[in-house]
Amino acid sequence: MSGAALTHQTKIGAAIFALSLGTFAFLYIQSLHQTVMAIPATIGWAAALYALRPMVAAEKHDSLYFAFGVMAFLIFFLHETYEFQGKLRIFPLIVGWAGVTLSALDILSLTETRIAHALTIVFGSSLSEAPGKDRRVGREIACFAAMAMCVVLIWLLGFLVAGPLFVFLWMWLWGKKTLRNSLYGAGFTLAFIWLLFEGLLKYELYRGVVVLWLMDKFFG
Amino acid sequence: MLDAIGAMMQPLGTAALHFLQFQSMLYLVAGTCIGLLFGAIPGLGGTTALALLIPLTYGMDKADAIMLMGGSMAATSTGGSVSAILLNTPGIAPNAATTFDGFPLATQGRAGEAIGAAATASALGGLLGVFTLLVVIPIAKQIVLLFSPPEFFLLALFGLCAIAVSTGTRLLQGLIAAIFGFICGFVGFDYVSGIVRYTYEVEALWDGIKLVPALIGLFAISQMIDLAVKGGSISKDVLQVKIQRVSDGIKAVFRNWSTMLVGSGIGTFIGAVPGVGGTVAAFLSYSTQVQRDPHPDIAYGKGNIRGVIAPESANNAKDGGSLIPTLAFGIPGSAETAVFLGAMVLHGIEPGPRLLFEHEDVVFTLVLSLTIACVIASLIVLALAKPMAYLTLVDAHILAPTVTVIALVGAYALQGEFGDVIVAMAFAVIGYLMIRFDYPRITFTIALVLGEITERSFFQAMGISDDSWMIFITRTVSLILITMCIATLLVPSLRAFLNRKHGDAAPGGAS
Repeated sequence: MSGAALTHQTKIGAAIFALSLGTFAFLYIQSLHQTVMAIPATIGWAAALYALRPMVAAEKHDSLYFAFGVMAFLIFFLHETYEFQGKLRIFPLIVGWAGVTLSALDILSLTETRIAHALTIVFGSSLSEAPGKDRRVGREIACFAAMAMCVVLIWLLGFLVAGPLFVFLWMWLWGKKTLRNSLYGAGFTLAFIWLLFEGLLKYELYRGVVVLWLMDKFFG
Repeated sequence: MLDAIGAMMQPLGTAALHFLQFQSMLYLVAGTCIGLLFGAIPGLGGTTALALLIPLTYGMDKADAIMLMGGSMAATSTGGSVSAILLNTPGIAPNAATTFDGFPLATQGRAGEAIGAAATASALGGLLGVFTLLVVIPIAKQIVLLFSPPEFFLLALFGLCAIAVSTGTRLLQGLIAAIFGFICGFVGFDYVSGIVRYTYEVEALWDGIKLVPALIGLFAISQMIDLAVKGGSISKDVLQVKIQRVSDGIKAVFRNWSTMLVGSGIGTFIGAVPGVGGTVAAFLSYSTQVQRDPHPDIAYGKGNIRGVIAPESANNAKDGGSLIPTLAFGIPGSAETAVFLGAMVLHGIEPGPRLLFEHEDVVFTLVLSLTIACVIASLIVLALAKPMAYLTLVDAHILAPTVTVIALVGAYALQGEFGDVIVAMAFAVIGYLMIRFDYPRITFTIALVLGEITERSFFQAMGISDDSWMIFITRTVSLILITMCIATLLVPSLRAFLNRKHGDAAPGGAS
């Protein structure tokens, strides 16, 4: 991008970003409540993403979205920190502003500009490779869903039922293991958890809302 | 000097008594075996092992807990050398340097010799590292007395800078990860003002984010998500290597004692620098050995036994070195020591200056655990190298769900609160995203661990100086630490500049 003309999208995004920044500064001088200031901050954030997108190689778009997510979180953190008074917010503010600055540099380092090149020298960064390019989003979503299911199963059925059940379902449905091997896996997990945590270490493991309800209903 | 040695003898004796008890020794052996297994399986590693072990130690006597975890810490890199030699797949990153000559030796039918050398070099390197730790403890006590709140604040910052720089080309991301670690550390009751922050009326967060469930999620479960996303088995190579002539490898270490000594020295020194870690120690030791031996009988990379001894001795020696900043200042030198530090806090032991004065028995229990575990780990490797290597053939679809469930049980068992399961899972997602987008988890963890002490030291320093920032630059030790921080942050720029200069000079030179 260095030396090349800016795209139409970048120009529009940059103009909205500048306008939002100006509004933010004006509201700050007027000492308005932070929640009001959050409006131009959000618009500015979205405009910056819109403006920078064409300046980033397609294979790094995932990283760009993630970096903008990080920036959004840090802005939200600053917003929350300003709600506190006195000493309570001094150190978090230092950390928050340092984070926003570093995050902005991180975003700029993803672009194909002279600034990004300068950042590679200052921070000794390697910007040639987009991380995680060998991964499949479908698998990631499936994995997160499986993990969420695991937590829900534990909440409902407790560790001793949900643990082996989760291992069995994963091995059988996702891992395409045989029914017998999946049952072995579940059996091993149950034996391990029960023997180690309940037998040896004497922990009382969570039984799950359904199991507790059933026990309450049938055994009082 | 004699006084210092005399003062050490009593806590050393108290610590040694633990090792005479059968149950305690059983914990040490169990920790060693777990460390070996997790070290041998690529993708797991010592940090995952420690994160999973913490909940098991909750009801234990603190000495037993330290023996269990110390055993695991000492054995991980020894376990990693087995898969590095037999399968060309390093169990953990620091074993990567061992593959250069270890795997060629295995393909020449000399796997037994390589494993013998690796196990012996690991044991001796580990012993030398621990011996150095023992020597440094009395000196560290004197140095620690020079530190007060401004110095502790700056030391924490220096540790973070050094660790962020050690992440290589990800300095910017390392610093951002550290910021997130601090932010997580702010959650909960603030000891300076007595008010809770960032809890959003969730009562479970009043005590802050609990370290152990967070670490379990960040290292153990996120690693399993990563493994599941990548899929397949960890290693697909079929093992057809015969393991024999192990004694030749053991003898080779004693024949090449200078290689082992230099490697151990490098490992101990590098280990003591926060964040630089075992990988740098192993590679530096390997490259030093190559430079020291310009006309080798067998070329390096083609199966030279010294190419196994050098990285393996450095690898284990760094464990003793990395405990120097962890124990003396409470600044963890690596992700593994950060998790270990979390475990110590759980058992009511606060690492830092007071530890050296008030809990010397704890320090010596750890020292002895590392010493004995080094030897036990090497003996087990010599006896069971081949079955251990088969572990790397375990399918990710068996490992991922099983380890995840056990990790979640561990997160819950600690305090019996279901909220901890959710915390572990939330940090697992954060950890995975950090792996996915290449944000170093180590700086996040260390900032999370150090967050409270850093903020407290900052306020104490400001309190001493009547809110004057000058306190950070008018004291000699503080000034030295600030200079070290700046110098550390300039390292990547300097490295990039030198690389560019070399890159520019090379073509010119060639023409």
